[in-house]
Amino acid sequence: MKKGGISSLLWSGFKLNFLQSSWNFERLQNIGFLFAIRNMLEKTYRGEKDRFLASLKRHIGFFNTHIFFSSAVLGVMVRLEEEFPNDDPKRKEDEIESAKMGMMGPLAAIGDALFWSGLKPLALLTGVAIVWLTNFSTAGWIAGAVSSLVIYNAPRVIIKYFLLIKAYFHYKDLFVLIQKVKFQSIMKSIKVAGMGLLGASMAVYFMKKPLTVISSRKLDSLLLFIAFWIFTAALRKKSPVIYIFGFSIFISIIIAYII
Amino acid sequence: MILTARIVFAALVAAALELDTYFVGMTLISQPIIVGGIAGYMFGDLQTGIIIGTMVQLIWVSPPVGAHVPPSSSAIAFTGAALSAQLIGKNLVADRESLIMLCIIAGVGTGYFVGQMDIWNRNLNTRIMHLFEQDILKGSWIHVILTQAFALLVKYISNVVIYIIMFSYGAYLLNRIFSTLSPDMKQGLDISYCVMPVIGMAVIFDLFRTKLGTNFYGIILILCYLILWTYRQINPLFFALAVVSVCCLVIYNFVWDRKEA
Repeated sequence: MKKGGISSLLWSGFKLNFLQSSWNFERLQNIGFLFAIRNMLEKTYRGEKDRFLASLKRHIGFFNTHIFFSSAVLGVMVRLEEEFPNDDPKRKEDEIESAKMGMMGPLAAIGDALFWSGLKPLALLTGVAIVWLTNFSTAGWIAGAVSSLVIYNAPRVIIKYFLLIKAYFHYKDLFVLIQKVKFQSIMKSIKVAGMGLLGASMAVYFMKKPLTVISSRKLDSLLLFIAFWIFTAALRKKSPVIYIFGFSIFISIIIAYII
Repeated sequence: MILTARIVFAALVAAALELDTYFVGMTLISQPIIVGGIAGYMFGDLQTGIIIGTMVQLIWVSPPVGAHVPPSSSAIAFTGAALSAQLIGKNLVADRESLIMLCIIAGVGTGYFVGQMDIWNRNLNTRIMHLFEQDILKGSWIHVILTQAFALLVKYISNVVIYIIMFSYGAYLLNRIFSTLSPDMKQGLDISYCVMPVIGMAVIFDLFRTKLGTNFYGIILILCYLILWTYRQINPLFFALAVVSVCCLVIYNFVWDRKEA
């Protein structure tokens, strides 16, 4: 490392936890990113006030990427700030800006798919399945909550700091490295595992739910299964969840008045 | 006096957990499965909190992508569980499920309002950023911290206020509303109580839908249903391990072991 220590880099990475604290509609995560990178800029430009102020101006602009993959952008930005020659400030600004803009989109797409549509629902489904399987017991709740936290947070922390270090030390090869990771297969695995777990959870719920709509449990399960397919069809047509929620309550009340 | 202290303390905890949904960390500790239990424990009915947490969890699992501001699932679960835990003791045991459902409906209202407040906060953040921008560009570190801290503080305080109102006046109002409901209406809420987790499962199905996944889901559902029907007292650990093993086997064979064409 040139001027900043590895501990400062890790501290910057930790500060990315606050990336979205002052999220705004104009420049999105800009203040959060500046908050994270500022100590590294201060070290890089120690004793060079004008260059330091110029670097602040570079990083107060628009910024938006996935919170856990933002560490890759941070690592590359710190490295570029350190390495790029200062003799042509305009060129430096353009290079850093284009590098930043080029990274944000792809990383956000990977992060959204992997975490928001993959690991998060899988982790929470696992937790819920465990709670259902153990009949809402306290021990089952603790096990379910801990499982969810571990399934989601272990990859979160590993990916975040791995990318930070890799982005700093191998910034030129970062995208080659990312391309080597089989994200499509990983996503497919998560989805298949999630569907298997969903099938098991549904069976557990149908068998163990304390209340039945009608007295026959088999017929009751069948009715709920039909409701499930109606909701799935509605979601496929992009109906908002709140409409489905309201509609199901409305229909339930009508059924109660009829029977 | 004790109840007031409990409500204020619960509101402080709920608002702190709420920050994790988007603003700090995003570690999942703000998810309904966790906060539902915490709220239930704080108001003396852990099991109701757990039930509400798991019911709400899968329905509002959708992520906050880009500038989209979803309703706060944390607020839905915490409010629903806190209200239920307070009101269950004041009503008949037979009305438990319908009361829980009514509290969830109140929680959903709170969750959507908290989501709307996030939009106001984000607009306010733009103004704060403009206010401090020149000082930040002059190299002032304190103004960067102030921008962050101010945004978090506004979010935190507004949430505390909402939670205090909901846990106190909300509980009072809901109790009055519940006492006026007809038996048919209560039965309708009982039915929707059974249906709620199914909505959550449909949401997950929609998120994970693939051709292979759908076939796998169907097979696992039928197999598990038959197993649970045959062996009513199955060991949960054994059952979970069996499901995970089958998932690993299928993933290995159908995803990772496929030869490139």
